Amino acid sequence: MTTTERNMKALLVAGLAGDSEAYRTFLQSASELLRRFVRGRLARIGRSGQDSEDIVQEALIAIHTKRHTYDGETPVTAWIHGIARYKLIDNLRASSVDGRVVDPEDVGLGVQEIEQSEARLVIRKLLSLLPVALRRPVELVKLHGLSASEAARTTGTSEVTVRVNVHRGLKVIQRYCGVEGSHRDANG
Amino acid sequence: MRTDELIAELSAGSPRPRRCGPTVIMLVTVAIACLAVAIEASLWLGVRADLGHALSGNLTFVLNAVFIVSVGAIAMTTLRDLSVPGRGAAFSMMTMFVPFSVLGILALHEAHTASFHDLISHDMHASLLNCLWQSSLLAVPAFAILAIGVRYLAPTNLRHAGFILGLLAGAIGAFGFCMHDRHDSLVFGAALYVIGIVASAVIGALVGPRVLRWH
Repeated sequence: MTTTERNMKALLVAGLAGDSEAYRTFLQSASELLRRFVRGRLARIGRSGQDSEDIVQEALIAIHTKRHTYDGETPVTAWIHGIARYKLIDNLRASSVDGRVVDPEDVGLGVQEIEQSEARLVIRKLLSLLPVALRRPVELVKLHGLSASEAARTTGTSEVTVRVNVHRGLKVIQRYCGVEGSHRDANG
Repeated sequence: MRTDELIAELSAGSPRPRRCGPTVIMLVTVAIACLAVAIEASLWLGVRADLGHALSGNLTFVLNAVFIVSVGAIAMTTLRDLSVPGRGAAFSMMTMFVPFSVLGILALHEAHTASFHDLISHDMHASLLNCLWQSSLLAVPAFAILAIGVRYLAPTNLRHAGFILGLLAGAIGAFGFCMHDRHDSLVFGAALYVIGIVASAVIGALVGPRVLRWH
C-alpha cells in the first residue's frame, strides 16, 4: 500500500477526531514507513535487522502516547520519522554493551543527514501526487538541475511547456503542503 | 506480541488525544512557571516599591524587561517547535542573538556616561554576584516546571531542547528578579541577566539528555 503524506494526514486527523478505523489504518501505514526507516538505518550502521520489529513497535507506542503532539502543521511523515529516530537512538543506547551514550552522529544519524533524508522522502511523496505531465518537468528542472531547454529536449516538448508545467507542478505541491500565495522561482 | 495485534490494541476505543495541542501545553507550562517564580520572588526578595512607576516611566527598567521578555518569547517558541517531532524551528539560532546584541549595544552606550562610572565605583561589584545567584535560584522552579511540560510533549533533540529550556528558565528567573532589583542600569542588566540566562542555558544543555528523556 502506497500511502501519501496527504492520505496519512487525513487518516491521522480523522483518527484524532475519534475515528478508530481511520486511526488503525494510519498506524498500519505508519508501521510500514517505520519498518523501512528502521531497517535502512540499522543496515547503514552494520546492525542486523532482528531487533527492527521491536523498535517499530516501540515507535508505534510512542506515536500513540505522543499523538497529542501532532499539531496539524508538521508533515506527518516528518513527525513519524522524528519519533522513529528518537526511539531508534534510544534503543541503540540501551543496547550498547558498555552503557556509553550513543551520539546520533556516531551511528550515521546526524541531524542534517536525517533532515535531508526526510526531505527526500517528503519530496518523493509530493511528486508522486503530481500527474506525470507535471511531475517529469519538475523532477528534471528542480531536482536534476536541467535548464528548461534541456528538459524540453528530454521530454520532447517545447521550452514554454516545460516552464508552464514546472510552474503548475509547484503550485500543486504548494497546495498539498497548505502553502498559500505565489512562489518566487516558478520557472527555474 | 505481533505488530498487527499491537495496532489493533492501540486503535481500540477512542484514539482522541487526552489533552490540548503542543502550543497550548507550552503556553500553560510557561504561565505556571512565571507564576511560580513571581510568587517565589515576591515572598523571598520582595517587589520593588516603585514597580508601577518603573514600568511607566523608567526607560532603563523597561529596556531590561523588554530584553528579558524578547529572549523568553523566542525561547518559548523555539522550545515548542523542538518539542514536536519533525517540526522545523520558526526562529533560527541567529534570531536569539538579536536581543543580546541590542542590549549589548545599549549597555556599551551607557558605559560611556558618567552615571556608569558612579555606579561601578559604588556597589556594582559587590552586588553583581549576590544578584546573580539570587536570579539563578529563581530560575530553578521555572526549570523544573518547564522540564515537566516539555517531557509531556516529545522533544527529540534533547541537548538542544535542554539548552533552549535553560534559556527560557533563565529568562523567567531574570524576570522575577527584575521585579525586585533596583539597579536601574543597562550595564548592570546586561551583565547580570546575560550571564544568568546563558549559564542557565548551558546547564540545560548539559542535563537536557537526562532530564528530558521520555519513553
